[in-house]
Amino acid sequence: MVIWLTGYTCMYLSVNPAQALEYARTGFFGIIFIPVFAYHFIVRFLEQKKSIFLRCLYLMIFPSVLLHRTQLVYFGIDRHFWGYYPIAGPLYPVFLVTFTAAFSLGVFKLIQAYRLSIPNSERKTQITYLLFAFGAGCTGLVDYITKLPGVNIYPWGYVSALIFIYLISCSIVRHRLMGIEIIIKHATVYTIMFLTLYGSFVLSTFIFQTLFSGFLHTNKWVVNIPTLLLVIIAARPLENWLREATDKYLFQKPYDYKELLKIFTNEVLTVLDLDKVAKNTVDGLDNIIKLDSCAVILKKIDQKKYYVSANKSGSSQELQVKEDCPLISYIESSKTPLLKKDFKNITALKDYEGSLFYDLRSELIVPIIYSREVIGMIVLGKKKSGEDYNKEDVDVLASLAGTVGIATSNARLYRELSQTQAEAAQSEKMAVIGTLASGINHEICNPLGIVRGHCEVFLLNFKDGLYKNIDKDKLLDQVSKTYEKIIAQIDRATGITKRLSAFAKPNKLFKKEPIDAGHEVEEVLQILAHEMRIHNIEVKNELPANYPKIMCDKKQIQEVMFNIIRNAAQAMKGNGMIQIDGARNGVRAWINIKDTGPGITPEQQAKIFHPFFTTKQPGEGTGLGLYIVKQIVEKNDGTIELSSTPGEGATFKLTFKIAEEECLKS
Amino acid sequence: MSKMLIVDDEDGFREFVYDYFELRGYEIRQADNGLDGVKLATEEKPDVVLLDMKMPGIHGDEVLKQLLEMYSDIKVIMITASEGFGKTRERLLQMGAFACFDKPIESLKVVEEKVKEAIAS
Repeated sequence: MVIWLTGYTCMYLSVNPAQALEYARTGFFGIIFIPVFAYHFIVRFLEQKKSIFLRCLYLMIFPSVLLHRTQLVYFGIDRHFWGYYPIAGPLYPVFLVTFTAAFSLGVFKLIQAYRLSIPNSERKTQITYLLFAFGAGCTGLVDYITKLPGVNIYPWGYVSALIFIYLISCSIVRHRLMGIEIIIKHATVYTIMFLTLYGSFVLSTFIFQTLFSGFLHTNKWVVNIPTLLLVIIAARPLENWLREATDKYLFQKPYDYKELLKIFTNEVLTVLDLDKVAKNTVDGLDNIIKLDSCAVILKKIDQKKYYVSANKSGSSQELQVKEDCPLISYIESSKTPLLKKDFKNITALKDYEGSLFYDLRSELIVPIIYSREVIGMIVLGKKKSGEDYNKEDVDVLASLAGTVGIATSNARLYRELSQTQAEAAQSEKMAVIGTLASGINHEICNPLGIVRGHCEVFLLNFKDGLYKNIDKDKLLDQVSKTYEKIIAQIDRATGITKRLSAFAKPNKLFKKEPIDAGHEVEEVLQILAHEMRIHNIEVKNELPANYPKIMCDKKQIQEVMFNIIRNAAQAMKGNGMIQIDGARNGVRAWINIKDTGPGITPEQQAKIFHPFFTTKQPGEGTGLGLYIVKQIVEKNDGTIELSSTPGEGATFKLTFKIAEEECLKS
Repeated sequence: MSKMLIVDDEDGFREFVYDYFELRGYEIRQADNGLDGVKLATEEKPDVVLLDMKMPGIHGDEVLKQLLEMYSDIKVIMITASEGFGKTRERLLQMGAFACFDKPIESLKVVEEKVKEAIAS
């Protein structure tokens, strides 16, 4: 459009018809591209596929470009009250039809998109602007159409083009139709491209025409064919070269900082796994900047040593960071990034041969700082593009390292917290087992006492001669029955110790596997049997035989059951019933633990899963039981809910994912 | 023949005590809970009662109280779990128990002597 408007402006201002005609034809050169570019823009904007129509439009360019300086397009020039104006040649109507078709179809597509777009969305506003702009553009055809029958009216197209430009600009600036920076970049590239290509086109045409004027006679336009071919061949490489040049010299932006920032906020800052923080950092930097190598080294807590947390390098060699490396000490004290090319200028590193840079194949080391302490370093290798790191790179990377610092300490704190939680869970468990001591003592001592009793009875009876008058067979029968009883009691005692030690052992290996919940509940009930019996609490394990296997850690589900059942028993303070039932629900299964205790008030319900919340007397509970239960359940991808009406007992509802094998059963 | 009532929820305990005293000429009645124990005591009027302390339902001390209310001269030997550190023993003796033994029982001979003593008094 710029070429057209410039050409036409020059035409209006021309002093003689010959000059005006040349300008008019130059202006027409710009017009040739308008319909195809406009249509292509709409297709791209609406994210549609390129159609045959679009390809045809592009093909139409060639004859137009070839012939635009002949009388076939603009026959001559006329003078009107507003200035010079071209007279349409025989090919002009063909071009006009193409123009009209492209614009009409484009506007039609926009109207369709307008109808389908979401009301009040930014896109709808953008489409509205485009519609008005293209509508205004269409009105510009008026004077061109009237030109066909020979009627000349004031060239309105000029004005409509300005309206078009104005509306598109509004849409760009106010409604983010396109990135301004991209437009400037493209405009720069294409202007230079146009000037170069069109200049060489005109120049070579002139040279050819002068050279071959003897052969060509009237068909001078033929020389345009080789020139045009040359231009077509040169266009792409020229465009690429110009793009690179503008990127390098006008927009020093070798990679997308925005993208980098996005990665760091989404994939680094939000991650709580220490190794993942480092890995995502390395991957993110490598993906965006494209590096030969990259690593994150982290300092061990309370130590001088660094270790490689994540590494991406060409060599598979294990990276080592030496403890007494002067470079590390320098960066730790300066807390600033250091480039390989700079380290020799630093007095403190005068004698340092730079082995760390070479070992890590590094060009730049950026310290990861958290709370004014260097907690690690990002070690960046060469850029694949071969470019050096500039100041802007270093600045951006330094602030990103700050993000990595926050993420790293978050992850470290989270790891510590998980560890503390695991320890708390274990001590809570041991505390609970402690309160069970008398019950456990009873459960183990009773069978032993009975065994002892049986043995003593036999020995005393024998000693007192009470077996003398008894028939030998009868006696043996009696003794073997006693032995059976003894074995049963010993099994009872070993069973309880085994269960208890399995239950008390810290759970070091978290392993989710298909679990038979009914069996685990039974195990827990065995441990709690005495306590339940003594307190007159009846426990009904009513999990159905077809209850599906659920995905949990075996020991953790026992802990959960133990805590809930024991809490229920304590709440009932003797005399009551605990009912356990459950069923499958789609890909999950629920377990209800219902008691007939006093229930839980809404105020207590709100805090029941909070740490250290307890309704028990001091010494009876730490208030960590249900908090830990909730943590465990959630770790196992489960949920826990409490429903209770004061005076009517409470129900804990657990849900877990069922095992995959169960999913296949309908 | 002396009549003895054993009240204990633990089957195994009743079994060996039964084996011991039966061969020594005692007539033995058994109950596995406090309620049945009180009922049997009223029906059978035993000479001596071996009564467990920790039981589901009514505990041993409550059974002891009820028995003493009904028959002030009834001889009840309590069998307690050992974790009471003597306090439970004192309390039970004060309430009117004839004797107290800790579980597990260390010597059946000693228990037998107490039983004999109880019957003789």
